[in-house]
Amino acid sequence: MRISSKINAALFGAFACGTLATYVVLESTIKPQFDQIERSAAQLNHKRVTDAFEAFTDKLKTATHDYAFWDETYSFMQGEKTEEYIASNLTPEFKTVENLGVNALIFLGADNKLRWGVAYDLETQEPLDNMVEEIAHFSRSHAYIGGSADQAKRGIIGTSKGLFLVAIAPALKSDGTGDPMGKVISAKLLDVEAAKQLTGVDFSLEEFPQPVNHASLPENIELKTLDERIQTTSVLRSIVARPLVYLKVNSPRDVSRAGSTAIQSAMLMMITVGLAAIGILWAFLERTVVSRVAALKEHFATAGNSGKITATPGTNGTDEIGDLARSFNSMAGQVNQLRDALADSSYMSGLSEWAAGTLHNVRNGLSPVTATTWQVQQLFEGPWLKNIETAAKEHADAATTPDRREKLNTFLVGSAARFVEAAKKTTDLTAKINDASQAILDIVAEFESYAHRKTILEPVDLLLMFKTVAASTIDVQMKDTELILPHASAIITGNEVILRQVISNIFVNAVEAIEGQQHRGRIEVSIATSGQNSALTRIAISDNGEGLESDRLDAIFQRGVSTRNRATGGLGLHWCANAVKVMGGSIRAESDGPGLGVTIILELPKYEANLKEAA
Amino acid sequence: MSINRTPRLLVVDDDLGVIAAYRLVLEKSTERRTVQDMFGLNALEKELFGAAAAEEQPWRITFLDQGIDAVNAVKWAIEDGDPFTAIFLDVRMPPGMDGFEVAEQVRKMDPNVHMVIVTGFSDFMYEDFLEIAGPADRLTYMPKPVWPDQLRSVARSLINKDTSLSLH
Repeated sequence: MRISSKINAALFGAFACGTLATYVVLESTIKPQFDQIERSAAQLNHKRVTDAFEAFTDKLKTATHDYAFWDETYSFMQGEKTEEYIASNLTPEFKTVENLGVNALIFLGADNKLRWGVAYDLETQEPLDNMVEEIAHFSRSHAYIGGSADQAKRGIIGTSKGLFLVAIAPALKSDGTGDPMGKVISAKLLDVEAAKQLTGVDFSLEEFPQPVNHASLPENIELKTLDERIQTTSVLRSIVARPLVYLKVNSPRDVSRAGSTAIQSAMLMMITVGLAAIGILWAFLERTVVSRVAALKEHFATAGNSGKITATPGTNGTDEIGDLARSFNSMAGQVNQLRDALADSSYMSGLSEWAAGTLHNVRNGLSPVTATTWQVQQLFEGPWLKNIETAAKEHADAATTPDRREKLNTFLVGSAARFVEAAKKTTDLTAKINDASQAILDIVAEFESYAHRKTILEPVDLLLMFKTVAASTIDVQMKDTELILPHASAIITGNEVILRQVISNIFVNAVEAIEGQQHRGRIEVSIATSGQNSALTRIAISDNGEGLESDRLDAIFQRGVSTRNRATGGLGLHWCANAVKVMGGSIRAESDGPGLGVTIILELPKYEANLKEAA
Repeated sequence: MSINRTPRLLVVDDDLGVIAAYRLVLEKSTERRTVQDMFGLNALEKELFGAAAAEEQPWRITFLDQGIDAVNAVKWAIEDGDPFTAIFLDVRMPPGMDGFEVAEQVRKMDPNVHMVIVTGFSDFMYEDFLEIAGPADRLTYMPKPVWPDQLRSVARSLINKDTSLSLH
């Protein structure tokens, strides 16, 4: 999984968790607060309706008390000044009730007989039939109501015309004294629409479902939460506490809706801001981390696939990724240096192994030669050749006795045959020597074929190679020698490992030539196109060392000639000349004479796209 | 300890050409004997010109081309009570055990045997062998190619040295 995908997943996961947690918190803490406020508001609305009914009855009470606690009414109720009282206070009838804002005004005497009473529809101004008697009957049925001053009451009653608000008060003197002389009753039809307008609350009065089960009627306000509204229900009771109807008040769920909207808006805002923050964070991470890590990964992968560990350019920034890139570059430099050293070492080791192995085979091959030669020598070993010579002399000597001459003769003849046999054996053994010599020649031929094996040619960056070689030769061996390298490089065709050995050899020679000189050492390298052949690159390595006589300039490249006695050994300039030749180049030395330094000039083919293998 | 036994030599080299050279130099030369004693001339020569060259002390010789065979041969020789007097040992004997390992194991089994390291390669220095197959008076280093006179001289001297040691 890519790091960017992981970061994306982590960011979105964290954001989703945060959003969900916030939503849960808001829904579980804030939303209930809104619901509670809404329920309180619903109950308040309900109370507002009942308060409105109270206010209505309060007006009735005032009008009722104005008549009831009045000396003239008191007298009227006792049958005094009846005509006068009616004429002055209750005429015309409709105006009387209209002025009071009631539908009915009733005076019942102490004997519960109707002294006076009217009931009108205030809109039509028509009398309400039987309403006076119906209300009077209610009052008579509940004699205790309004029976005394402290029993003055107001409330609601149910009639055939609907619900009426009523106020019932005893007829007393103006100062509130005296025995009650009957009751004054005022009534007003409960105007639901007016109450709605007054309270601004939507409510309704509903009949109980028949038959009425009083046990199931709620004692308090019941609250029911519906989708669009909260419905509060209570039982509206009469002035004598008898259940009349349901009062159902509908309160809109504006608060919870506003709360939900607020929560949704908050969530939407949070999601928007969160996504924007994720976007910004992602862009930041992409720019500062992901893209740089991806570039490093790409660079590492390229290095891994190609085997060429080059420095990464992503070292900008002082953060950990910059540190990582710098560490990689440092490591890459060390690895490259080690790899070059290893390649050099491997090359040298290979050469050494190859030469030693060849020597071993040659030495082994020589053993049969020496042994067979020794065998030939053995055939003629001993005193017998000298004895033949002695025998010949004695045989020719006249003083030799016949008997000895005869034996000498036998010995000489036998020796001649023995000599012939030895010569034959020698011929056979010589053939063996030839065979053994041929085996050695085969070994040498194999050596030669290996020496002339194909060398893989590749593009070589000269400046880079000079820096590498200088680090391991001049820097190590003579730190106070100044090395001047050219600013511009050139790419030539050659074998980098072999060329490094050649350059290393030349540098070491230069360093040794400088040692012991009075002046400060200087080695200068220049790279240019050859003046004689534009397909060649000319490399000049000049030192200010002890220099060379002109007659030694060619000799130093010959086999077995050394510029000095090096304890460290080395491949030598002869090997260098052969190696450069194999790469299609040439090497020569120039010097103005002893004390004036030496310039080694290498000419190597410029790099061409189509590489070839040198024969 | 028997002092009259014929000395035993062991030659170990993986190169059959070198083994052949050893054979020419160390085995009794039939060509020389055949040629030089043709027609019984040796007896006539002795009669005419006096005593011929003295015969060398004889030795028995074994040739092997692998290190492990050499180790086993030394082990069995010791078990038979007829150990080798000297071993001429090559160093490089691929693909098996090299001379360095052989010398180390042989010395552990036989502290008296003379070892002659015969090599055309300088993988190991004399000092390396001395450390694991010394002492110095029982360890000789000979470069290849084999020079017959030198080889026979070394063989003779080691046999004589061993005989002289055994006499004491």
